[in-house]
Amino acid sequence: MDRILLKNVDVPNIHDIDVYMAHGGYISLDKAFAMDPKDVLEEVKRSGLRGRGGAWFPAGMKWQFCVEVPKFPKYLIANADEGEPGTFKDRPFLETDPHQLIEGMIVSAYAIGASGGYIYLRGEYPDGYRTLNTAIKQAYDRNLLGKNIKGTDFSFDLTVHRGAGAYICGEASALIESLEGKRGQFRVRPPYMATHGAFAMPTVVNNVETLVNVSHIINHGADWWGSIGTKESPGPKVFGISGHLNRPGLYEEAMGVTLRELIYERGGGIRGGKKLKGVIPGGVSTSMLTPDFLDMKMDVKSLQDAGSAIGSGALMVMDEDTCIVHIVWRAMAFFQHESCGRCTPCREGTDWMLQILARMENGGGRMEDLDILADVCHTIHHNCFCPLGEGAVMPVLSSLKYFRHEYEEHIKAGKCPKGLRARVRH
Amino acid sequence: MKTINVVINGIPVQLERPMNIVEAAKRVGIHVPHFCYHKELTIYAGCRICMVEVKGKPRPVAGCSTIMSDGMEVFTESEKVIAARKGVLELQLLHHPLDCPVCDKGGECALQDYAFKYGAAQTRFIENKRLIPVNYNNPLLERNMERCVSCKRCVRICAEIQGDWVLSDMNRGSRVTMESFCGDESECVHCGHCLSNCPVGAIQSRLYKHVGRPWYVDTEAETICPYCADGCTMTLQTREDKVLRVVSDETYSKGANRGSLCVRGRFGYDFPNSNERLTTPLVKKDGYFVESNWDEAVAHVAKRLSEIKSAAGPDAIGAVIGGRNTNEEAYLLQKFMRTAVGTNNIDNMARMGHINALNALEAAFGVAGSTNQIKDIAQAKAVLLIGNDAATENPITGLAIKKAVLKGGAKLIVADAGRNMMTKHSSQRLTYRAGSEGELVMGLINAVFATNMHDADLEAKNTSVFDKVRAKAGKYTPAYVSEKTGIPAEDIKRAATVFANAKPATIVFGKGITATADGFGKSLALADLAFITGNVGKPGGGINPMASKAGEQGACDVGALPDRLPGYRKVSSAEDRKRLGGLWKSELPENPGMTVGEMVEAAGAGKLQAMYVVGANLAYELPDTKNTVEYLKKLKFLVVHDIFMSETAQLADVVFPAATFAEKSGTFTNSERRVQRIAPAMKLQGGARPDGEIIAAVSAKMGRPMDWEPAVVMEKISVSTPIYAGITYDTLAGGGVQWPYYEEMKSGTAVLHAEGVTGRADNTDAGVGEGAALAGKVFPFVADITVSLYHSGTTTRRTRGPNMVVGKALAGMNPSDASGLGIADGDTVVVRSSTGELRLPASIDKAVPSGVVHIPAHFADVCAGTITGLVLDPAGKTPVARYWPVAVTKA
Amino acid sequence: MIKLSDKTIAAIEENATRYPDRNSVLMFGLWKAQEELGHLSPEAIEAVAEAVRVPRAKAQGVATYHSLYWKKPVGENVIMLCTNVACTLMGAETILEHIENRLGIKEGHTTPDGKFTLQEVECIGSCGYGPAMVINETFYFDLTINKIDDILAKL
Ligand SMILES: Cc1cc2nc3c(=O)[nH]c(=O)nc-3n(C[C@H](O)[C@H](O)[C@H](O)COP(=O)(O)O)c2cc1C
Ligand code: SF4
Ligand code: FES
Repeated sequence: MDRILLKNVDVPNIHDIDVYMAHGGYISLDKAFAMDPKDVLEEVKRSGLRGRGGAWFPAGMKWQFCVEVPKFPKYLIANADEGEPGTFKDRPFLETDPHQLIEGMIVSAYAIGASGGYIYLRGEYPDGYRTLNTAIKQAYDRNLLGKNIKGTDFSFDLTVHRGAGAYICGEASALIESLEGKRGQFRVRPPYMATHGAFAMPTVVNNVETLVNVSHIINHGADWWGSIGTKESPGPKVFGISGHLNRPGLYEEAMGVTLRELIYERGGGIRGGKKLKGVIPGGVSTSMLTPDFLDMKMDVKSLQDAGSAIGSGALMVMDEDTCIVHIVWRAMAFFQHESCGRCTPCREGTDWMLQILARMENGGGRMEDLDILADVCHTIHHNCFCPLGEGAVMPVLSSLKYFRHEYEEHIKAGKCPKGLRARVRH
Repeated sequence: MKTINVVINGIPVQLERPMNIVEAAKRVGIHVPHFCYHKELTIYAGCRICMVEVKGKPRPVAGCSTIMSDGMEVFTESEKVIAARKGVLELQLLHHPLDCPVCDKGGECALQDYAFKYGAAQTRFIENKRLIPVNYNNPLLERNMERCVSCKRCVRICAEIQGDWVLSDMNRGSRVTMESFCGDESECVHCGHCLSNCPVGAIQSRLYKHVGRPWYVDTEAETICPYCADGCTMTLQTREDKVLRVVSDETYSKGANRGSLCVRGRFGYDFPNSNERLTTPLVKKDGYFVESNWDEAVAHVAKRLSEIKSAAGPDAIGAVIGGRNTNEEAYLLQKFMRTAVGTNNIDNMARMGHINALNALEAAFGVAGSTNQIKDIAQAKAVLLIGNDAATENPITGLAIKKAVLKGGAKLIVADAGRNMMTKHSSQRLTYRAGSEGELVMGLINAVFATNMHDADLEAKNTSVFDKVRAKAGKYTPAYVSEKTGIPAEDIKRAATVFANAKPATIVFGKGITATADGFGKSLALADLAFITGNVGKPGGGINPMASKAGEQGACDVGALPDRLPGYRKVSSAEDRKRLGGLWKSELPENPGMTVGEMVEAAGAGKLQAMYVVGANLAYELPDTKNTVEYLKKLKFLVVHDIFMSETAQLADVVFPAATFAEKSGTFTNSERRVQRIAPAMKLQGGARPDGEIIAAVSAKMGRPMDWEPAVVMEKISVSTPIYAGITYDTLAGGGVQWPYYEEMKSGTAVLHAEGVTGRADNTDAGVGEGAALAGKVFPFVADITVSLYHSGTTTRRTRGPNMVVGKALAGMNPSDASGLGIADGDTVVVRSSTGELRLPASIDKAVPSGVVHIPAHFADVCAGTITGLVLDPAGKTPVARYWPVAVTKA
Repeated sequence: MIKLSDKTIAAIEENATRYPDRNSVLMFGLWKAQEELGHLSPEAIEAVAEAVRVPRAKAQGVATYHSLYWKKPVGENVIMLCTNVACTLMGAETILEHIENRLGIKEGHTTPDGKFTLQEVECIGSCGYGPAMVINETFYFDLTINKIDDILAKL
């Protein structure tokens, strides 16, 4: 597939507005402004664009809910928190080609009727903070942002809000709490974001990549865009592949590319000619899968059927030498560290599981610990308040399903057979 | 909205509005376990113990955050639910220290109860428990974060209801603790909301530490707090006739306070147990008190009063009742004076200010009481808080104002000459020069008229009144008022705009108005402001005067006033005298009597020869302590009822040991006209007796027997006092009623004049006077004499709790004033006036305006009366003592 | 009490114009204070709270919620090494051990000379190029022991 979203990432100085415009940037604005906002929204709906942040909710439908609420101002927020471990796909749009995001946001805001925009940028991307701020300033200077954009009635302000290291702030409602100056935690719903989002106003939160796609849909039409990929998950997608590969990195593919293609063609196969042990297909909070799934298509439905999820499309590949217990322990260290602490199951459950997994690695694992892990996962999965907890159990449950023998080997050996140790964090 | 039909555990339930599963289940008596849910707080949904099963849903849902929809079927104790609860409880208990034997929450702990019920007795946890040291940063509380279930109720209640934000959840994940900023609890006002809302033993009272267990309590009495005139409902728990503690209404529904209390109410409960209590009647012989017995002492008092009466006439005797006495006691005392003694020399301590507000409201609208109710203030869209620091003086009113601001987005205008702790919630703060409050109010009226923001419809119906008010306000242009008050003219206009354009808008005021010169005229001007903006008769509008003490409003209502009979009937009215005289079988004296200030002056002049003082500490509460004591000493005979050997009791010839509120029945009427019952929680201490019983005994001895049992007295009050008609102890059950009471509707009156103001009598020309600058060359500062949040008189000086927080008086000074005088925090300063001087440590406080020194009124060693003079305002004969010119120097 | 510089205060005020509610500026204020003061001491948090006009407990609640606000003093160079799953797969733990040995400190600590702080962090969005780390806002990818020695020697 020809690159669409990443087409210009290698163009020198594409972050500069002149260079960007010389490469066809901001054209979609003219097209969109010539249309009624309703029609722009309709076009996006028709394209079948689904959110790229992990939940894959149809973007057009989300916008529609917001449009229908007669309250103003409305807000559009780009979720640039990119916190799901394994994910690095939004980074080019934040650090290299920022105008593509800004352009997508302007068109989207026009469709939604949003007059205020924020980019919630993870604190770990200082370059992105500078690049985006410069790009926004350039866009203001050209009247592409601010009052009466390009002489139309449409006005849109855009501000970068810098996060400071909290995975949960990537969850849309937690993000809004954080934007409002509170501790970013999941919000009780109802009320829903379409009526009471940021500052109690109708709000749309979309992933960066989702918004980037919008200008392409407007430029080339929903039909063209929708013809890419599969029917239920159309469009191009940036896959970030990492782990034991010869050529890890970002690859833009049509949705529906197979796991095998990603690993063995784009990724160049397993490093050192090793055998594949397993994959984490969509970021740490998705269930791991075995080589049995190599011919699976990377789309929403196929992964769901496989008992996992496509998540952010962050594929992590593990070779035959990998200690699964160690990886699960490390994943749990992440969830324990990032649990917001609000709900009991996630706060205490991740902490307990981390201690059990560490014990397994370092000696002292017991068979009954496997039951405890399963029980705790069950308690979290059924009772936790937000999806972070639900994600936290996935590595454990899936590894217990596919790699239970590795746990048993740890327990029998009284240590990690590969000699790895679990560290205590300071 | 249409009703919703749902099924809970097989029971069909009809709901008239959408509500969450916890509340819906409560309707049919089903308790859904919960820690973090609290009906007054935003939903948190964090503890996850409230999980229930909803038919058709694969996973359990949280009962607190799930709103029931039509047709929903819920199971709160199914197998799935029990499994979920067990799972959550196991996690909840992982790090819990399991120290129930030494935890004061034992027996009333939700965690204990749920663990018991759902059985999580064994743990599979073999790692180390988290250890977190107990935090003792708060003088009254200990925080034990090992026991915390992270429900965040303490944090939320502090922020959402108390509005103080002392606490926050700190850190993330399993490291979360509920703490103040760096453990510094100096911003805490010790309301104890966090304590009463902690479902487990993570926050505990240091006063109650190892004092009792729930099953240890032998008497529990729902009663009314004796401190301020907000009149909070609370429960006293006692064992073996000692108060164990106060607990607040867990249902958050009763009375004016609805579950909230302030530090005095919650922690100031142990004075009834004080070993300083008087236990036996004392009679002074040769300058020394000797223990007497009741018969002897009562006979002695009756004899001496009779002697003086026959020698010098009944008007040589006067009586005063204090602010902590019940309505029944006030009623008995005034009846005693009017019948047994035969004089109208009867007054009560509302004379210190509140009476001006009542007189003004009566003059304005025909009823001597607050037009509205406290909780409705929360509905206001704008609040003008003037001359009252509600956060300190009337904390529950303060909460209603905060609710208006925090939940309703109301605009709060705080106008005060001195420190005002409500300022942080205000959208506008007007700091006027002490003495110029009248100009400010008139300036607001002027601005309302100038911009035509008054209620034009109302004007059409009340043209003459409006004309008069308009004319009166004519000269108070913004420029003129700005010059007088020191407030920029723009600010005055802005405040007037905000107030006039908000509907409803309300006014709350207190001693900063009423205890100043022309307090009556200023109160009347405030009533006019409420009137012309169309706020009278509207819920959340109106005008709310704040009384200081629990008994003040009621004492006035039942006629403990020199010019008024019960129900504010005028002494001068022959008809009313006749009607009451008929009831009391007595000819009532015709000449209005003396106010308390006048009595003291008359005592000094030798005109008053005897005084009968019930529960009032005149030698301490009145201004000009030195002369007051001198004058009282001149009396031939002084009788005092008190619970302690107060400064006034020390001067007495006979002292009767009185019962505290914890030992007796009766009623208090709070600032919003709510008549509420107090109930005994323990037997009379030592030899104490209720004041009513003592008064009745003396009266009987003087030939006028009276019933004194409170319930019977209330029956009499309801006959003799028209505004109390229909009120009996039965009608008062369940939270009291706001007079007037309507028998047919079985309800009191929350909002007066809802049917339109009937009584706006344009019958007074009282103005606001000329606010002469108080501060001058010799005395360049103004002392702002107020109650402290922690102390409000003789009683709090004998309580442990408040003294553990604030044990001594401090002179609050603005940093720039202090540095100008070379005064550092903690330095001793001399506050000198024309009448005397005080020495006390300075406290540097940004909240105190420049030019003001803030002096708390209720400390034994620092008696504010030392530096004030006894000046009676001509209209209400109120001692003008809120502000006093002083000089401040470093000692 | 710490006073924030006029520049920081001005930046906070400017940022406040971008939100309908001033509370939103809290995180920005904390960032600015950290830039100015190196880390967020209690006094610094209090100063930010005052400037933004939020309760200081709330400000501390937010500051302690986020990993990138330093609540303790940090060294001149803060080494943030990612050890999340992707980087761990690529050998981040060996790198961590090596840095620990080289600097003579454990993760989470600062060298006695105040030159380095070593901090293990969660995913820094460099998963395809791991092991990865950030030092003073500069990213380093595909780390090896030799590369680390070079980088640290130059600092
Ligand atoms: C724990 C958690 C973390 C998340 N982190 C991110 C994130 O970093 N970036 C993102 O775009 N979406 C993230 N999401 C998904 C968002 O909640 C939300 O679904 C998304 O931003 C919506 O955008 P989309 O519809 O364009 O995908 C996260 C969700 C959860 C539950
Ligand atoms: S699952 Fe619970 S503790 Fe975990 S992040 Fe969500 S709300 Fe917070
Ligand atoms: S009461 Fe529902 S989660 Fe706590």
